[in-house]
Parts: sequence; C-alpha cells; structure tokens
Amino acid sequence: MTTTADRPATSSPTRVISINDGANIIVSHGDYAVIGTRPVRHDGVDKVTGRAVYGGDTRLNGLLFGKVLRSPHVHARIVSIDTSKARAVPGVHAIVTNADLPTAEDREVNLGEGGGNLKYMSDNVLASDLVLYKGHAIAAVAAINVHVAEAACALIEVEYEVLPAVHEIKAAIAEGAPLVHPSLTTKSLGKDTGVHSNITNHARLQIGDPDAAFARADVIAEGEFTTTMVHQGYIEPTNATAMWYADGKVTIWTSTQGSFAARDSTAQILGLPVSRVKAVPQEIGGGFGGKINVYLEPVAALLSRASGRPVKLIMTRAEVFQATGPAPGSYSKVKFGATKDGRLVAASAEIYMESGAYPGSDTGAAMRCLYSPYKIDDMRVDGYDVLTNRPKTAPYRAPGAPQAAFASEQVIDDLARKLGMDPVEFRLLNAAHEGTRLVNGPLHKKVGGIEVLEQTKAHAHYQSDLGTPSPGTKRGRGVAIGYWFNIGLPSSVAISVNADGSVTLVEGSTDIGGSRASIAMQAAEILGVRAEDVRPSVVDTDSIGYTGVTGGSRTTYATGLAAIEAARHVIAQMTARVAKVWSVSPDEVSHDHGAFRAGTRSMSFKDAAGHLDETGGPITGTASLDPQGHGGAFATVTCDVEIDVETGKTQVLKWTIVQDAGKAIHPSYVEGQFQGASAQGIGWALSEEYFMNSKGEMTNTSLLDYRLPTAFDVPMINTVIVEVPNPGHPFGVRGVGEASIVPPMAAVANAIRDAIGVRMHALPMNPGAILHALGTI
Amino acid sequence: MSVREAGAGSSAIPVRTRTAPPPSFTLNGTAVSLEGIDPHETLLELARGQGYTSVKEGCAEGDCGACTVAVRQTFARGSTYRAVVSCLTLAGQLSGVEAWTAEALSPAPLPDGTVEDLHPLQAAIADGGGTQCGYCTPGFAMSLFAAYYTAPRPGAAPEGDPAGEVLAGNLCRCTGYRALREAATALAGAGVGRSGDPFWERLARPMPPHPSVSVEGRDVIAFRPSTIDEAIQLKIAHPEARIVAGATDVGVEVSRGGRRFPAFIMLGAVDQLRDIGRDDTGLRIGAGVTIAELKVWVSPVTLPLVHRLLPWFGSRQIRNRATVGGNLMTASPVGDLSVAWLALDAKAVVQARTGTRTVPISRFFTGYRQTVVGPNELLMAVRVPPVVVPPGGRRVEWAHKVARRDRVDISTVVAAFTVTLNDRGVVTDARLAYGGVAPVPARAARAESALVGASWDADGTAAARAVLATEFAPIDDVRASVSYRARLVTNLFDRCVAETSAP
Repeated sequence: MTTTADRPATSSPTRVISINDGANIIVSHGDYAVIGTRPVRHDGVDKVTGRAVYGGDTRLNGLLFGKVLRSPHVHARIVSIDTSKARAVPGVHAIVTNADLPTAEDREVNLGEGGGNLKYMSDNVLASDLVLYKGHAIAAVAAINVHVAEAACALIEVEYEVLPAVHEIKAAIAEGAPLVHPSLTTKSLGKDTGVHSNITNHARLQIGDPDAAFARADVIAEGEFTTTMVHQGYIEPTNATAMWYADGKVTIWTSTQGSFAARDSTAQILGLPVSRVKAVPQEIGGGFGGKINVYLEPVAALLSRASGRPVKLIMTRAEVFQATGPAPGSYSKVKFGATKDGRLVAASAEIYMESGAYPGSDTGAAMRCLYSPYKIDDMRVDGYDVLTNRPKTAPYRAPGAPQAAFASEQVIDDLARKLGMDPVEFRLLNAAHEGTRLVNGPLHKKVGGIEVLEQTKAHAHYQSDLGTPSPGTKRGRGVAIGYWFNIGLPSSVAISVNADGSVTLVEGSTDIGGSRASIAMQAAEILGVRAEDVRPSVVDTDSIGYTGVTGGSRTTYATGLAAIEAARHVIAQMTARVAKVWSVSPDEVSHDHGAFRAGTRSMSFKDAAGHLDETGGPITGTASLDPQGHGGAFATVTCDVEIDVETGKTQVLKWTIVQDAGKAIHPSYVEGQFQGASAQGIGWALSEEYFMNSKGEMTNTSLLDYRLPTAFDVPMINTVIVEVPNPGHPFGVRGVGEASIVPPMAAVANAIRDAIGVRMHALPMNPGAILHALGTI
Repeated sequence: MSVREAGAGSSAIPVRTRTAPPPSFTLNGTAVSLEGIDPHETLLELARGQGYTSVKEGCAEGDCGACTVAVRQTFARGSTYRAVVSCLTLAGQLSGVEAWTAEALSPAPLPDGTVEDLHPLQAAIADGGGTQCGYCTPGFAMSLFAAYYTAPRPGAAPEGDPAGEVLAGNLCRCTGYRALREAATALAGAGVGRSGDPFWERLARPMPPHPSVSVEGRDVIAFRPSTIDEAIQLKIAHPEARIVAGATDVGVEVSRGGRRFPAFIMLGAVDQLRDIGRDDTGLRIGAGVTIAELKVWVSPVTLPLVHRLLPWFGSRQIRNRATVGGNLMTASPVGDLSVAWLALDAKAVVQARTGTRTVPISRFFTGYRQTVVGPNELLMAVRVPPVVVPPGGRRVEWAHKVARRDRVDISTVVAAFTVTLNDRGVVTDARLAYGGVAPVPARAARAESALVGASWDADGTAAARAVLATEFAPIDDVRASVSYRARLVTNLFDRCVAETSAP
C-alpha cells in the first residue's frame, strides 16, 4: 500500500508563488491536496467569537481565588513569617508557605525535556530561606474573592534580613561581587573549579585552532555587545487552577505550552507520582517559551489541599513581569577574521548570559547557533552562565540565539564593510550548507541557508532604493541571518473514524499558533479527506500519550509526524475493511487521494467509513513516537529604518523576512509566525527592556512603560517562505516558530549603522541610546 | 438597597427616594442591575461576572485593549459606537450605558433577513489569519466593530494610517498586525448604511437621557449628578469624594492599584460640561468634552496646534473616554493637552457656587499633580482666546510629542509653541510650552522674552535658544535621562524654527 503523500517531496520541481502583490512569496515544492492550502483554523470561530476557554476563564463549583505574597526585596533572608493575622480575615480559607511543600532534594530531576534541580524549582515556586529577586513568592492565600485574598496577603508579617545583591551580569562577574548562591562553585569545562562565584558554568565549543587562524586573517572585526532582560510579553497573564481531591489526586487547569511538562513539574514539586496529577490544558493566550515552567500550579494545588476547594490564581501584569521567567540579558565579545577575498577563516566569542536567581541559562543554545550560518574551519566560543538577583530566566523563542546573533551579525556586517562587500554577497560566499561542520561537532544536515540568502538578495525589497528621508531624518538598510536548530521530542496522536467519513484527532500538543490546523492538515493529506473533515482536540494528560511541550519549533514537525503515523494506521485498518467488503485480499487494495481501489473498483474514504459497523466495528489509529529527524532553519531579515536624528527615534519603514520552512503546511500560519516574531524583534530592538533602578527593582512593570510594539510601530511585514525539504519528514517540515526571531535585532542595528554611521552595542536602541551614540547627549 | 436621585434642575442635595428607578445598564441587549454593586467594580469584572468571558484582562490599566468593548454614545442626531477599555470603566459610571461585547456579534442577522453564523468582521479576522493565540482577538473585534459602523467624516483629510489608528489601542503579540491591518482597512465603515443590520439600525435611535442615578455599594457611593449645581453641591457636601470624568486615570488607580475611595462624583451625566462653542471671546471647550469629540471638532483651521497634537494622545479607546477637563485636573507633568493650552494662552473657567472665575492655564498648576481648583469649585471649561495677527504678519503654531511609541505612550518630552510674527518676520509674541521637563507643564518664560524682537530664523533666535537651554531642570526616569530631555528642549525648538521660519 502506498499513498501519494509518501512520495519524496524533493522530487517535485520548485515553483514560486506570489500572493498579495508580492507581500507574501512562497518558493514551494510538492503537489498536495490539503497541504499548502489555507483553510480557516479549527479554533478560529471560537477565538473570534470569544467562546474559547482560557485558563483564567476556568469555572468550578466552590471556586476560591488566590493571591501570592511576593518579596519586596531583591535579596534577603526570610527570618520569620507570621500568618496569624491574615488567617483571621473573614473569607480566608487557606494560607500556604514553603513549609507546606515537601522537602525538596538538591538533585537534578528529569522532566522529559531537559530537567532541573528540584530544590531550585521548589524554592522558585515558594521561597524557603532566601528571597532572590523582587517578586519572589513567599506565601499564598485562598479566599472567597481576590480582594479578600489581597487584603489577607497584606497582613502576613514577614521579617527579612536584607542582603547585598547583584543586578546585572558585569556586576555579578566582578571580583568580590555579592554571591547569589554562596555555596555554589564554578564548573568549568566539565570540572568543578572549587571557586565560589556567580558564574555557575563555563562551557567551550571549539573546532580547529582559531588563534592560529586569526594570524592568517587579512581583516578582523570585533565588538562587545550587551542585551537587557526582556519578557515574552504574552497578553494572557500566567494562571493556574487546581483541585486536590479527597482521594489524593490532583487536577490542574492551566494555560500551558506543555500539559505533560506542567503535570511532571507539579508532581515533582509536590512530591507526588505523576499518576496522581492530571493537567487539563486550557486555551493559551501566548507563551513564546514563557509558559513551560510552572509558577502557580503547585501553589494552587497546596491551597486546594488546605481548603478542600478548587483554587484559581491569576497573576497581575506586574507579577507576570517580576515573577515569571523572562529572557536573559547577555554580554558578548565576538571576533571574526577573513581573508581579503572575503573568506571567513576564524571566529572566537565569549557569551555571558544571566540565568537569574537559579542556575541554568540559554548559553548552550546561543553557543550552538551563532556561527551556524557560516562555514568556518577554525572557531571557538566560550559560554558562561551567570547568576543575578533577578527572576529565574526562561525560554523565549529560539532561547539564546537572538542575543548571540545581535553580537555576531553586527560584527559580520562590519567585516563586510571593511572588505567593501555587499552584506548578502559576503554571507553567501561564506554560507554553511549540507556537510558544513557546526561548532558543537556535527555536520549540518540538508539546510536552506543558501536558498534563503539567494531569495533575500533577489527580493524586490533588497533591490529597491531607500527613498528620500523626511527632513531631519536619515535612512539605512540592514540585513542579518539567524539560525535555529529546532527539536524533535515525543508526541502522541489518536485518530478515530466517524461513520460519516469525518475523523476526530486527539493530540497532546497545546495549540499556541495554529498547530491544530497544521497537524490536522497532515492527517487529512494522508487520509485523503478535507482539512475540515478532521476535528482536532487538545486533551488532558490522562487522555493521550506523552507529548512534549509546544516549543522548539517542534509541534508541526513531531506531532505532525505522529498524526501522519496515526493516519497511516487508520488507512491500514480501513484498507483491510474495504478488502472485506470487496472480498479481496488487503494486498490488492490501494489508497490514493482519499479513494480505496482494487482493480477497477473504487470506494471513497467516506463510503468506507460507512462500512465500519458491518466489517468489525470502530477504527482508531494511534501513534506515539520520539522522532530524531528534525531539521534546522535559517531566516534573514532585511529592514529599512528612518532615524530622527534630533529625537533619536527610529521608525521601521520596511521589513522583509525570508525563512526556510521546509514545507509550509498552512502558509498563512507560517507567515503569521514570521510576522509575529518580526514584531517581537522590533520591540526587542527598539523599545522593550527590564528597566532597573539602582536597587535592582524593575520600574516599568506596566505594559504602558514596557512598550510592546503597537500596530503603529510595526510596518506591513513582507514574507518569503523558502521550502528546502527536511529529509526527516515526509512532507519536508522543519518548524517555523523560532528562527524568525534570531535576526531582527541585528538587522535593525545594521540598518541603524547604515543610516547614521554609528555601531550600536546595546539593546534597546531607544531614542536616548541613539542620541548618545551620535554624541549629541 | 438604597438609591439616590437628583431631581432635574433641583438645587437640593440629592436625597434617597424609594421611587427612583434602580441603577442599571444594558449589556448585550439585556438590562443588568447595578443595585448594591460596588462602584469601584469595573465593567470588565461585571461583564465577566455575567458570563461574557470574551472580555479579557491583560493588564488592568487600559494599555493592552484585550478588554475592549463597544458602547453606544450620542453623536450628532443619532448615536455611534465607541471602543472603550472596560478595565477603566467603573460601575459607578455605567447607569444608562449600552455596552456590547464580542459574544453579541454572532449569529449575525443579514440584510436579506437570513442569519449568518459569524459577523463579517469576525469572519474577516478568522479567514485572514488575524487570530493566533486568540486572547486579544475579541478586543480587536470590538475595536473593528466600532470602526465598521462609523462613517468616514465627510471632507476630513484621511489620517496617515487609518488602520493603525483603529488598532493602536489593542496589543497583539502573535500576528505582527499585518492580517489585522488588512482586516481594518477592508472593514472600516463597511457596516454604514447596512439596512437590516440591527447594529446599524440601532444607531438611528437617540440614546436615552443620562439618568442621574447613583450607585451605592457597601461603605461607598458613586453620585452621578446631571447638573453643574448638583455636582458642586455634592462636592461641598462630600469633600472626600473623588471627582471622576472619563476614569482613564482614576480607573488605573482602582483597577491596577486596588485603590479604594469613600465616594465618587461621576460627571459623565452633566451635559452642560459637554459643549464646544465659539463666541467673541474665543473658543469655549467644555470640561466634559472627550478627546475623541474634540478630535472630531478640531481642524487645521479651527485649532491647528491641538489638531497636530491629538493623534498622539493615548489610544482610540482612551480618547473615547478621557476628557479635556480630566486631562487638566490630573495635572500630569506630561499632560499632552496642557502644553497646548499653555501655548495658546488658554484659560480655565472655574465655577464655585457663588460665581465663576477665570484662571490662565499658566497659573493653573500649583505643583506636582496640584491645581488651583478649590474644594468648592468645579472646572467648567477651557477658553482659548482668538488669535490676533499683526497686519502682514503671521502666526506659527507648532507641536511635537516625543515618545518611544507613536501611540499609547507617555510623552518623554512634549512641546507646543505659538509665535506671532509681524510683517517683517520679527517675533512680537511667543509662548513656548513644554511637558516632561518640570514638575508641571511649563512655559519657557525667559526664552519667550528673549524671542520678542528677534527675527524668526536660526540666527535670529540663537540668543533665545541659549536661554532656553538653561530654562528647565528635567529629571531621570524610566522614560529618559536628564541629558536626553535637556537635549530635546532645544532640538524641538530647532526643528520648529527650521520647519516654520520660511513662510
């Protein structure tokens, strides 16, 4: 039995599709019935009518509302906590502190993907002896409403011994800096140095001998760069609801990127076997990496155990900023060397990334990504994880790679300038391809870096001139490339056939950006039915096999593969049923474009579904798998900026993002990923930051002062989807969620350099920074 | 439950009566009682409590727009829908209000009498990829809803970025806005004249008169007078009460800050505060006029300086609620309109029980967040004197707001200048007003003096510019550094001279 969808995607010719007057271009391959079309997403109507149920919308009988008491200090020892006055407030049902959590062992636990130190996870949820950042949770109250809970929180008396603190990387790595974890020693290159410092880990990746190679370089460019802590900025605040039932089982309802990750972390922190915890994923209002870790789930569970009632916790926006995991700030030194004919010969870099209050940052991913666009024989990168008295950092879309690219892609731009070469030509000349050695050792698999750069160069945007600047302004254009390796991880899907020829698809991947559609469409392609004939449901952890988080750009790839396997399982069973109806051997029946055939006989999928009852009953196809064939992706951004040299304000005029999707299952939602990441990148580049006062307190904890870009700050973003198929997926899918946020900040910085002749070394490149760089303030 | 009512035109302090109608508002076509509701409660909380969970909280301070709902308001001879943020709309303001959430949009009756599952604007968002995570989507839908049923103003110059104006008060972190912009462009005004569409046809009906009904919760009452007299008497009787106009400022204190007040005096039903008119003493703009209403009224001819500044003011949702009076009374150091009034030499009309006084705006602010308006007084209006230009001369009116974002942002520095030139291009009169560089919006008095007699060009104004550079002592904060603000003081002046020195 074969299906049309099994044909290798690479064999079909490439064609260029231009949509929307060239605003969206697809360099496409393959010939499919469903894949590559643009049906309305299955959850679209619920979302536009407001019927979709998010975590905060959870309603349960007897529901109580919780509030968390948080540290006003950046670093302090908790001397005592007195909850007696708060407990006396009418309407208060429960108060919990770290004392209500089981004693957490100081050991690494496996959480399916990565893992963490259980004591740190537990202490971050409710502080034990120390508060390590402003906003660190100390106690929580459950009451009849949130106002009562707030009033009770205010009556909890906490005595603190305030400790000296470190607020940012350079201060944290300075000699004699106050230590965030005095007992921790620096691990360097796998060995414990015995040195007490805020550097928890030093890692190195090296290929060849870069020091010798720099001696052979004709031209060298280098620079130092810093980025500040930023937030994922999801619009839905972090929330969790929990019920601890009398039989000792716990159910949590939460907006999470990974219901199994939420279940496993909550179980570990509560000291329960996973069999006693069920996570029910509610609709999720944005995450971008920030809704993988648990913050409120274990607290809600403890409050429920203490009160005997379900408890809901929702953070305020200020809590979201101060007490969830933002993306780390960074400090990087990067150096590249090239021959005078433009060949990169050497690279070295040091990257310091803050992990915040507990060890573990994005340094490893940053190290893996920064040289990946290029073929360099001799290269080295040193990475350092640095503790600071700030919230424990968390993933944010291609975690680590954007900070590294902000540094490396500016130095590459400088090198191209020194060589007098076009920045895209220079990147093309040195572009990595299949077989190029990566700094972490392996060779690139089939990748689309060259194709992406060629499309960038050929694009009307890159070929256009900058136009005439408004009075008092200067214009410039910048380009940058970014890489993200994407990941696999386990996924499970079950597909059941209905008698009317439709199918239900049950999956464990929470849908954050259209994955119901992209997964259902892959199943539809295999089954030979329409996308709308597949009804996808995201279900709880008791209702489907283990599925990793929606993150790492893995969902359309890995859960898609599970859907393909489950659909094939369905087809195999249905083929046997059709054979039964026709009284032929199953080997004689084939399936193609939704029709079963044997000789001249043909039966549609729908008709076959109508025969299930009489041929043996219902059919469910299932698949649980842990795929290893994920493929990395490149993205470029070309952007034009106009800078008001009197106010320092930068306006992005034009923006084109080109990215290798492998295969765009639903092109609109692929474009949506490119555009959304671009807007986030514009914010990260120009306006967003954790603005800290001299005490290390964040002072812009509102969306007004944090400044996510509005529609006014983002131009109409042009996209080019390049499809260089990933051989590890039958349709060639790579995953598109993350590569697109790697190049934006560097592209904007390069455009600013082009406009005003000044190299920007720090984010955000806000008006004050621009005037400072210009030397006018 | 008790209800207080003020008889129309009565000069008595409102008293309790058992015959008064209970306070209520209409939500998605159904009456919702406000009896016993704490006036601090927000429309966001009330709507969610009624089961309308499309109304989402993202920030609780009017910055994200996820809680946007549409309210029908009187406009011309009929009414119009305006997008407002429900998190900054207090229960005490709601009597008589007609509010709509995304749940009400579908199923949508069609002009031909059939019913469609989705309202056209919902279909456009879903079809075009305008929703990803979906959390912000109902708020966007309601901003688009208001735009859908709003006719473009006849003869008005098109705004630079009309789709951006519709959307700027709603944050989306997923889509990058392209699909939403395309929907906004296609949908703006598309519902105008759509016969058979009940949302359109409803607009022909005038809004019922503002009921003068108070909302009383436990230990707190929100009075809602309908006349100036009542308002002043209430203020005298209840010195502890917080005066509320649009609630875009006090709403933040309540919604985000959890602040509680013992009493409110809600001015939204005082129609006398809502007039705009011109007489021989110039323009008179009622304190209750919203920024949106002012924006409709002003033009490059009627009030060029204000016309230039208003697009920068908040977001559409905030402009629909914030008032001219509230903007002055909040006495923010960066009040965008305050600098305009300073530059226009405007005056505040302040009324006490015993009479009216007029105070130049330059003397209106007495300190950080403080004004001259006394406990027994009410700000009635702003008066803008007529422009007098010498024969052969001309008048320069120029303004610029510097903020990191073009919409929904607080000024880092805002400047508004009026300069009168004689027939020889020499300055006869100048007012240079700044916000964000001093504890109150302020004029650069010494530089203004130095300008008089100078020729209006870079060389002629150099001496005054040097004075200007020393005139203010700005501060460092989350928005900018001292050096940045100081630099902007002269840079904005330079830009004004460069743009306006040639007639």
